[in-house]
Amino acid sequence: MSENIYNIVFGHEQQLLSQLLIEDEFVDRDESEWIGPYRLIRLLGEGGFGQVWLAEQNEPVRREVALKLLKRGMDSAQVLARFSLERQALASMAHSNIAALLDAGSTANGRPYFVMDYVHGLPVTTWCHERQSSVQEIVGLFQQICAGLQHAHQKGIIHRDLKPSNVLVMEMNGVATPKIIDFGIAKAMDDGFLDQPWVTRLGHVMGTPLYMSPEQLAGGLDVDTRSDIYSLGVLFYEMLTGTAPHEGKTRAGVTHEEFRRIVEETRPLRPSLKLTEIKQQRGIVSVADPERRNPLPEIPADLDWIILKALERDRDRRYDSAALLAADLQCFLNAEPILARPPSARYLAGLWIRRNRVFFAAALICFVALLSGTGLALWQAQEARKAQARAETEAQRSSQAVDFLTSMLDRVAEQVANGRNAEALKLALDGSEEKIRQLQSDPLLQRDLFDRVGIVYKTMGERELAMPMLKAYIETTAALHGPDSEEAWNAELKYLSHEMQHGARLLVPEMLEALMKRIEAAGKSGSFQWFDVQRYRVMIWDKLRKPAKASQVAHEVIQDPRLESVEIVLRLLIKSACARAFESHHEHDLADKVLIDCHQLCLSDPVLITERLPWVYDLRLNVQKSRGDHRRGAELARELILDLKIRSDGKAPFLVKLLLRLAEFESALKHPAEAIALAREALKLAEYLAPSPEALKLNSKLAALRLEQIFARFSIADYEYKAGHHEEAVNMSREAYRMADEQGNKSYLAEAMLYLAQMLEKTGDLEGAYQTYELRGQRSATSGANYQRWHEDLNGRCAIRLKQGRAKEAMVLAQELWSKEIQSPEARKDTDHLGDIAALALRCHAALKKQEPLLSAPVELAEWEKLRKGKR
Amino acid sequence: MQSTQSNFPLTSWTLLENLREGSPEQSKWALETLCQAYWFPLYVVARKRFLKEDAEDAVQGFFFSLLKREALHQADSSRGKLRSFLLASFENFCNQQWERQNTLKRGGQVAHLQLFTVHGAETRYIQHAEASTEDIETLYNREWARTVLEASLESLRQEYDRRGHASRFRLLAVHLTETDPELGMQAASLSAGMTLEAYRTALHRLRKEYRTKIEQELAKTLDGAEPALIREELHELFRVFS
Repeated sequence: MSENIYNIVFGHEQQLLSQLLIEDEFVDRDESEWIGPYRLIRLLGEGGFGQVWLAEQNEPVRREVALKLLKRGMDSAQVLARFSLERQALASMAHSNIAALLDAGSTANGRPYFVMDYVHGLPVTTWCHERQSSVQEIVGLFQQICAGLQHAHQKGIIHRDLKPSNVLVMEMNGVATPKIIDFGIAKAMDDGFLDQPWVTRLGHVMGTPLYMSPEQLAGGLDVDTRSDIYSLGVLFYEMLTGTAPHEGKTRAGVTHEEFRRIVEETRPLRPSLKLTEIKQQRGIVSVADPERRNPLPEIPADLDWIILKALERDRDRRYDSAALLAADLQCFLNAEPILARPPSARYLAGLWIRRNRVFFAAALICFVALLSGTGLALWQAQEARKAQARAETEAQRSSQAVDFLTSMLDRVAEQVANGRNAEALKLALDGSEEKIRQLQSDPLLQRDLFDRVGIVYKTMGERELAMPMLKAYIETTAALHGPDSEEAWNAELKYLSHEMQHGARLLVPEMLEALMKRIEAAGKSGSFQWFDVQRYRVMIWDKLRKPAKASQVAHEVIQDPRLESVEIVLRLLIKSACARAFESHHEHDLADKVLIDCHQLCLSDPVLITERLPWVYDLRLNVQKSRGDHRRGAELARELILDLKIRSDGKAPFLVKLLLRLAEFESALKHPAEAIALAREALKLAEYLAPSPEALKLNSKLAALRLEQIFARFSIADYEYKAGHHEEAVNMSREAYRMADEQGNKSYLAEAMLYLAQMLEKTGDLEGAYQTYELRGQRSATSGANYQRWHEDLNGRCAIRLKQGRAKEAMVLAQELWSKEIQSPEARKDTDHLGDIAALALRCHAALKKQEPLLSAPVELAEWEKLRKGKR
Repeated sequence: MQSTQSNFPLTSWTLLENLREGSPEQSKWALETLCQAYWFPLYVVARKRFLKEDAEDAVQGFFFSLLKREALHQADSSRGKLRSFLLASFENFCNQQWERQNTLKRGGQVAHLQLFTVHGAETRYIQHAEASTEDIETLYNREWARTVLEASLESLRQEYDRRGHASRFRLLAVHLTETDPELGMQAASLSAGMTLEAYRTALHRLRKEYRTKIEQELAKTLDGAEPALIREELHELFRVFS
């Protein structure tokens, strides 16, 4: 069974089946055009629940009404019985912002219906959008909605289904009047469904989840007036910004359950920032947009807090009543202090842990339950039931534990690599080294855990935590298999490769020599491990920027006659490493020759063709690039593109990258038009191959192509900028930002926002750049990125204010930046990084001093100067 | 555990009859069909009691004994659902055969059945059932239902492939689970170059075809293809997940 099919089915069985079976419940409407005393005129709408008709009543008065006809398959007697319980309360409602419910009954065929005032109006959000209402107008409308809802709540009636289509606005005597419709219906239907077969229940109640409160989404029966307050908050949010708080995140076709999790795990963006984001993503600059009568509204901070208070996940933190909400809005209009406050840092930290509970759960399972022995007890209990030899099961238990834990950790690592928040996991993994050390009774498990946890740390960018783990991995491997076993050598090589990528590189050559001597002493010169060591020797000298040394080793290795009989993948890796060394040593022709060799090697093996050939292509292009021969590079790229196009029918994902490389050469050759055209072709291809997020559910390999679509846009923006097309460049950057946002990968989002900010800055839109930085700070505040990138946004904002000559503001930002940086132990150690920040702060100080010579120096001044000196 | 739901519609025993009395081809077909539908569900049952390899052996051994008609001697008396019967027989098999240490040697006699082991069974087990506290019967029924859903969807996919509509299937299939038609579909229809209406229609058709496939799959282990029976079984599929 293919993975894709599995992914569609697993975890979604209920939804799948409910959709298949719901068809049984669809029945066309009754033939008659009369329902009771009402004559149906025309269909106003249709939804999961049934249909809404415009109908005419003749007795006792002649008037138009809206008739809601529920779908068959519900027990109408029960629906109506429940409805009648509330009927008196419903009938007692009389408010100008509520559409009165007039009647209820069932058709000859037993379908229940409800009759209410016909409101000829527009959904409130549509109204606000079409009229381009100002903030004041919107607040006014919204207060009326609150008043209507408060009236209902006082009568003990909860709406339960507030959404734009249930709040219609009509003009009465020239005054915009919102009316809430459908009171009492959601409840009657809901309760009616409780005793119904599952099909009906599932299919009908799930309307759009965007407006549902978290407690409703969780499916709880305990829904009270505060649930309506939440829906009001969503409505208000959308009236002001044009989108519901979590709307963007539903684009990828999420299921109900996924949406519930999104609401549970993410805080909505502040409405004012949401608007900034919309402006930045769509490039609507408030005044310049000719389409708009009014500029996009600016949302004051107080309004942000009012809306967010209504949208609190925990209903105890919301407004207790619609009246309180309306009152707080009145305070806002009167410019008096409001009740709502920005959430405290402590509260946010709590949310943050909840948001990352996936990691906590994983970590918890791994490191608390299992290591403290309760998890192991499960295995042991199982074991006790077995009357088999103890020793055998011991080994099995261990291997199962390893399977289980490693697969868990692999998944966590993948999450982290995908840009999910790593901080929480780090906290949970805290102290795990010691815990693993206690597992002496199970050395196999111990060894694998050291390896996995080390890799998780590495993926998180926590090198200093990763290396001791990996070191322990070598030690445990050596203890298990003997210090000069192949397993131990492999473990050491693995460790060295990590060291080489990130760690203390200077020590690596010595360690490699020592390992080589040990292998040779064991009589294994020329073995797989021996050659692997040679490869690392070449690579490390190259990485240490000692090209002569690297080239020397590479010459030795490549002339070794035994190389040709080494296993093919390793041979390919060795040769390509040598080629890179030659390239660094400016032996370009030799590098090229060796790479052509690699190319041939790939072609000789079907697996290598698909897995390594693109990589070799890339290396060959690098040689031309580093030699500065753009013409030859472009030629080669064209040749490779042609070759790949023929072999893949023009559909190889790697073509995207090759096209971008070619564009790069063309740009270097000062052919901006060609570069633009090529980058656009690359983008088009990437979009063709990975058209939608849905496609990725089926083939996860395409995910890289979605990212390439972001990069392609960066490239296009770059070339357009170089060609002097500033507007195009900015638009492309905005698109990249939109795309990254859609994909929900935090690191790429941060990248794209930074790119847009820089592009805006380069093209002279300083204010736009400033806003983008600010927004970026907000949006990335939740992701625990690397310290060097934490405060790029503050840095950017500060530099812009400085550029604008607003030295005072710049100074404030610089001080904020400084105080944040020195709170981080990692940043404190990096004097280079701190030096840059000190230099910026000093520039701000100098500018400010020019404007206000009498200002006293900030306390940090001496430290800044010291750091700057150190940097010079 | 005996079937507690004797009011279920009677199921076809032709598979078992074929297995016992049919020609070699018939018996092979019957075994394959049974394995396809029940190998993994039974593995989950076994795995809750045994370790990985033993669980595999138990399932293999059970199918082998079906072939040898050992486990079938009480088949006629306990008429009920084939599914429930297999579960009961399997548990019985595990209790008796196993405890007597009358095990079949690994890789020996049962080697010819290796064909039917579900690839990645252990991974599936860990994901689906390892941490679950549901009772054995529920776990077993769920795996059976998943197997039906997956096999039918896979067969539908192959059909789309054959018709040259692989990419269409890809675009539509992810929306099979959609409970809210407004979510996501707009974007998908755009990228498919279809109008929203056309997209909905295509999805509707896919659902119908899927349902037909599931019904065919269910009919294999039911007595004939009576719509009412199948519909009840379809609802049963859903119930095991609620």
